[in-house]
Order: sequence, then C-alpha cells, then structure tokens
Amino acid sequence: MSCQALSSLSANGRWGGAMTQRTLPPADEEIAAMPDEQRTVLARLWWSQAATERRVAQSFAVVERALSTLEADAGIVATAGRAIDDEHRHAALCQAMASRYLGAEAAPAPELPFSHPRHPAARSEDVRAALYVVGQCVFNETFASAYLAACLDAATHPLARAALRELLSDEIDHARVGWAFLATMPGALRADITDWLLPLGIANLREWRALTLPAPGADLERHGVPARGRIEEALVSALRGVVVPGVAHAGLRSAPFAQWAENGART
Amino acid sequence: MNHRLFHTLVLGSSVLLGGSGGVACMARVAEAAPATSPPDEAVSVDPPSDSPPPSTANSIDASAPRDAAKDVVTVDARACEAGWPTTKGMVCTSDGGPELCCHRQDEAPVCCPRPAPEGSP
Repeated sequence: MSCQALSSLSANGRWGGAMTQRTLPPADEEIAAMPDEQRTVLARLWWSQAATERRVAQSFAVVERALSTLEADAGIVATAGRAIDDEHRHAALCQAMASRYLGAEAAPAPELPFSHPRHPAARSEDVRAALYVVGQCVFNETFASAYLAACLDAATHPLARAALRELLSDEIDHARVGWAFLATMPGALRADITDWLLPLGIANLREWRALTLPAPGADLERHGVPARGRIEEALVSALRGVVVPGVAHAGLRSAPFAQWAENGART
Repeated sequence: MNHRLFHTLVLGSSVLLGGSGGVACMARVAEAAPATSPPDEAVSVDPPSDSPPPSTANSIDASAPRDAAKDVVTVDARACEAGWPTTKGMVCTSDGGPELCCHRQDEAPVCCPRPAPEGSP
C-alpha cells in the first residue's frame, strides 16, 4: 500500500469545499494533558479511519454508476455522487483528528487497496447493479450509521462529539440512498433482491464484526470509542430494528432473513 | 418501529427523491434520537401488488425450517463473498502490542505503519 496526500475537496461538495459544516472546537490543552499511550491509540484509530473513509469514496463511485445504469431517481443519483466527496471530506476530518490527538501533523494516511463484492451469481447486470446499491447503502451505511451513533452516544469529549456528529450526519444521507432506491426499485428486480437479502446481510455484518478495536477504558469511551459489546449491540439492533423492518416496509419479504436476524445473526 | 434510526433512514429517505441531492444536514435528527416513533401502522409489511415472492434458483423457501439461515452461512457461496469495505478505524493486537490495521478483504488484516508525525524518520 502507498501513502499519498489526501484528495482536495470539491467546491461543489456539501460545504462548498470546507471539511466540516462547523469548525471543530479547540481542545488541545486537554488532549495534551492526556497520557501519551491514550493519545497514541486515539491518533491511530482516527488515522486508520482516514484511510478507510477515503477507500469508501471508491465504493460510492461504483454505486453512482450503478444507479445511473438503473436510471434511478435523479435525487438519489445526485446524493450518491456527492457521497464521493463526502467520503474525501471524512478522510480529511479523520486525518485532522489524528493530528489533534498526536499533537503534530500526522503523515498522510495510507491508500488502501480497494475491492468490492462482484456478485457473480447475480442473474443479470441490472440485478448486480441493484445489489451494489443495496449492499453498500442499505446494509453498509445503515451499519455505519448505527456504529457512529453508538460512538456518539459514548463520547462526552466536545472534540470527539463534534467530529462524530459531522460523520454521522453524512452517513445518514448515504444510507438513505439505499432506502430511497429500495422504495422506488423497479418491480422486475424485487424478487431477486429479496432472495439476496440474507447473503448480503451475512456478508456485510461479517465485515463490521471482523474489525477489532482496543479494549476500551472509560477514557476512550469519552473520546468516542465504545466497548466492543456496545458496538455489537448497536449493529444487531440496527439489523433487527432498521434493516429487517425497512426491507419489509419496501415490500421485500424474506422470512429466512428475518429469522436469521432474530436468531442472533450468525456470520 | 421503535429504533431511532428507522424513522431517520427508512422513512426519511423520501427527501432524496426528485431533488438535487438531499437535505443539508441531519445531525440534529440523529443527535437527538427522535423521542417519538412513527406508529407501527406506518411500517407496512404488506408487499406492493407488483412484488412477486422470491423464486430464483438460489432462493430459500420462506417456509423452510428455522435453521435455513444456518445453511446459507455455511453453504451458500453468495454469503461467503466479502462485504463492502467499512469506514471503521481498526487496531489489531500483534506480538508488539496494538497496531493500526487496514482490512483487506481477501486476506487477513494487514497492519499499517504508525501515524508518525510528518517528516519524522
């Protein structure tokens, strides 16, 4: 993997080229007083997230193309297009947070290799394109929203809360791309997508569970790093309380999917 | 539905339709965690009339035994694919202690260099 400077932000982006809607609050004195080990762990986490956020910009390039191919509603396509810039802003924000905790300008986060599900079993290109939208937006961004909401719930430090709030507000729009698409999806795709709900759920939840975080102490929670148990609870709760009823609301009924979620969502 | 994000994400998604890219900021919605939930009646589980039941070759019968999901986890190749990359920061535990990690989908997690200050050796 390589390390490269982060992309510049588009003036056509959500905040006219600014990294955040609001200026991050100053908290440098308090951070400087934290134990070095704690600051280092937090700097590493934000720096890592800078890398993963930038990678997801590529995911949204795929999603935008898929939505265009499917001739989705213009508002949905536009939001997906803007999400590419959103993710670059997130990367810049996370990089800035790493530097704040490090107490010095952090080196640019590495550029991670990108790949995404290809769904070779999809019955047609349209089904595959729809699966891209559902997998990335309905599943991944809903889980991301739940994860960030859990981080925000845990955080009490003003800097962490400000940064997490900026990220969460965008992720909500990104998940909405998927939910709006499901609500307007052509009828011809519904049977296939319904049939894919369970494998999509397993594959995407597995990704979120695969990632590890340090065993948090109370001080890390204050900075938005909740205990693993709270993250798991947030993910499963979102699966059961958002995704399962959400797909039913869109008219997609899959008893195995609902049963899997209810029975522990084994991955 | 009682989950605070159901209303925000699922029902709120209609704001994207027909526009030029959604609303400016939903932070307050998420931050405040809506105190009231939409009534259950608002969350219909009835499919639209143009929604046929799943019936593709890979489909799992909705009337199948309750452990059908277990079979999918273990035998359905579709569930063995990697999911979409996440945006979560990671720290792996290695012999040298906690290390920053970058998840690579087809391999074990890869540890990345530490975020040393720019210009440092």
